[in-house]
Amino acid sequence: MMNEKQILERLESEIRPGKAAPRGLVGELTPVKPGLSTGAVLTVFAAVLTGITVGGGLTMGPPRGLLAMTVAQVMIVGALGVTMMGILGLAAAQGLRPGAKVWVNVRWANVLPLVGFLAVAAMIFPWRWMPENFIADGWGCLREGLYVALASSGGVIWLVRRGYVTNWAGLAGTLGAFCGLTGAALLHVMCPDQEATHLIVWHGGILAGGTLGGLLAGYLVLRGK
Amino acid sequence: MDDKQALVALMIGYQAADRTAAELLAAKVYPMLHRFYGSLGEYERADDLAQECWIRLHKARHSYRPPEPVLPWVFAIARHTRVDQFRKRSRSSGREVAMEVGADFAAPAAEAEPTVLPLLEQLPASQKEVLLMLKVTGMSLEEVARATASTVGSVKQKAHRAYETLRRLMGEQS
Repeated sequence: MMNEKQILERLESEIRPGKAAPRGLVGELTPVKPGLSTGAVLTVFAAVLTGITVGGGLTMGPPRGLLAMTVAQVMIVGALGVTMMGILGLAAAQGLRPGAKVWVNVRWANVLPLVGFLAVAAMIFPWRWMPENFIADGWGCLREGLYVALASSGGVIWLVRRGYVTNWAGLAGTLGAFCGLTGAALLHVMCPDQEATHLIVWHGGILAGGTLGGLLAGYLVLRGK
Repeated sequence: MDDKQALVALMIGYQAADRTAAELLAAKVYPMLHRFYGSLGEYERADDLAQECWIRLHKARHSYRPPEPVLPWVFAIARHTRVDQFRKRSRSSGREVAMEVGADFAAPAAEAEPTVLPLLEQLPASQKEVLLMLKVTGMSLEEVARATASTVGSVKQKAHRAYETLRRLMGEQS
């Protein structure tokens, strides 16, 4: 019975040598800037998230959501947002550079913000469901959050143009989840209804909608290729 | 300067539009790509795939970031090229009519009767790919993990399973 080394040596001897590069393979050359570093991708994510939440907060009136939360809730939600932004930033950085080191599993990274948000909303916010305005108020939140998510997609589309994508489905899901995260973050600052059911269904719906929208966009890109 | 550092230097030159560096890089990388595609059971299409891959490498050269290793970047795009071509072929296969392959186009026969290479066909695609990347390109486990967007543990596991299957198949053959 052959051992591992012998199998590999035999395989090596049986594989035909590759052909030399044909003449004229290298065409027109223009200088290009090297790809974005992981730090640069994280910086863009942080800038988009901060810009949307602070800019939106300054232009859309008093931050009633922030004022309705306790200090502990603000700190926990803030830490969750920053952590999720970091995880999605790492996933995006590795998705934009072929052959980059794998820091996070993209599938997990894409669902983690939603799971984390639902868990935190269920654990640290009060359950005081009031059916009267549940749909009317919630629908307004969902719509505004999705508009914000759509607006933040401009920044991430710029990132895609600076990289090369080999896994469209995964990266589009990541970028969609990030856009959803920005929408949910702004609503957390602005929305006065900090009640668990409202947060889970409508604010969580923005995160879910962003991720699903991203996955759908990735699927459409793949179909078009 | 070892081979890997030399590739990084060539890639930096390529990004700066240095023609000599680009040609040297093509001379080093293209045969590896051709050998990789050829050993994946795509010998007839190896030329097309290698050229298509080079075009993509050229278009994507901005996405490489020095001083990261060059081969994982090259082979991540090489895998992607193959998957894309496979997808295109499978879409159009329903409209194609099978033709007999003429002698001129058939793959040349190897000098010695191969024993291991045909057995690769029985391995799952992911295991075959990992094994060939380790052997054809001489990449390390870490580099193969980067090229396949997985972890070192996963690459080790796939390589180990591939050896086990090959050993079993060779035992059955003899």
